[in-house]
Amino acid sequence: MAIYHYRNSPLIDRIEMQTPHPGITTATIITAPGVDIKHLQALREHLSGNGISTLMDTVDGHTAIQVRGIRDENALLTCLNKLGLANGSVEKELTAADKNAPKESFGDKVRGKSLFLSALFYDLGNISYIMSGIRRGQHNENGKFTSNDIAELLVGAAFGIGDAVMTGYGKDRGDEELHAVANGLKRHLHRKGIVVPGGDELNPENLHQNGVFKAVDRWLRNISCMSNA
Amino acid sequence: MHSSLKPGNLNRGKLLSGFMITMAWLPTLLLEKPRGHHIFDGDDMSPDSLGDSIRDNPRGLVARPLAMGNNLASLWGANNERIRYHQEVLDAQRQIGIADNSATRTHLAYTQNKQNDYKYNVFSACSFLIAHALFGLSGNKRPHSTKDDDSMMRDMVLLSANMLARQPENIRQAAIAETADYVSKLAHVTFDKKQVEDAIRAKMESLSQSTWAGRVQPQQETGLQARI
Repeated sequence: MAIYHYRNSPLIDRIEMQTPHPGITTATIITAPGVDIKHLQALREHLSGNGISTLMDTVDGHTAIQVRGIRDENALLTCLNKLGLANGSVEKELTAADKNAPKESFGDKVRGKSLFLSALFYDLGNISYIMSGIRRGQHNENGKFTSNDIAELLVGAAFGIGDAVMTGYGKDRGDEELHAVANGLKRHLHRKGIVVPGGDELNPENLHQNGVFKAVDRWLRNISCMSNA
Repeated sequence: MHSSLKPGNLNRGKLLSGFMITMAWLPTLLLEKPRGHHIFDGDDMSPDSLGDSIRDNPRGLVARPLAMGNNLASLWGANNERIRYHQEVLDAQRQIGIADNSATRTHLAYTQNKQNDYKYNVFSACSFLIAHALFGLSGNKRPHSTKDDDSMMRDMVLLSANMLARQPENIRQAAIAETADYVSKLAHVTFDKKQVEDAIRAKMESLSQSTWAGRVQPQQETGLQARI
């Protein structure tokens, strides 16, 4: 576990980062004493706006925010730095367990990013398909593209669209199960006649007011696994 | 598939390749489940039949073998082209031997230009072979018992407490009971319903005593709170 101490931040005391699986990082933000709930909500909204899932929590009596769905430590730190929360003084501390942790094997690294890596190889193959269509067309006697060449070019382009989406959204972020349970539980309680008030889930309520692009982004994140098919 | 059936351009390798890619993606499209769905397989410990296994992991058991078969068929098709193009070059050279004129020289140049076109297909097929192997790997089901079961369960309890934080007091108990029933059946959750219920209540109580209190519905003191 790596601990980032925020010495001059009015909002954050420290952040504890963990990597439960290769390519997936989770974090616990321990807030500074006496912090205002409005600021904490604003922080959750900011993180949610960047596609990061958060949950209200307490750790040893301290108010905390659990953070899921981040690529790596830097993704969260950069996001917080943009808010000016670091104030130039963040110290990283590695726990003994982290220092002695065995290095991630090549196999584990590949397994952790298998979908994203497959998307990259699909992209390469698609580019080659498109190039093949173009080169075959150029090498025809009269320089005219035949239907075969166009078909090859279009196959590459059609697969390319799906695979480009998979490259952008194919990586697991570690919060997929939480989202699935949040939606499933909401449906389950609704069937039992219990309505879950908005804003107490993985994201604060005004998250969904971020416009069309964010909505499309969320939708793609959910369905992108199937896009290649 | 259509272009590989055209007269004068019959290519069985490409035809087979088109057939296999269709067979690979169609069932995968139909059987693929949303992300994170494995969490709902708490009661379904291991698949009993081949059909169950396929439904569990369509990427690994349908898409991967068929799509990799498609790539091998593509390589076979590309090899057919290589042989055909090479033959065309030899024929064109033979034609020059018979009649060396501008028409035969143009034809030779044309066949020579074309003879390496198959290489793009070889590169595509090899790249797709790796991609499909990785894609199949990504569909592997996470084992039911993992070293991070505890943290997964804590997350589920915390999520439940967050979702129920603002439930009005009159339905809160029923909501907690229903939620505990739901959560206790999820994969990675080793607590029974009662234990999940207690854990949710304890977490909601700790939230209500922190800065998050403003986002937790005030509740009357209960026996549980007195214990905590």
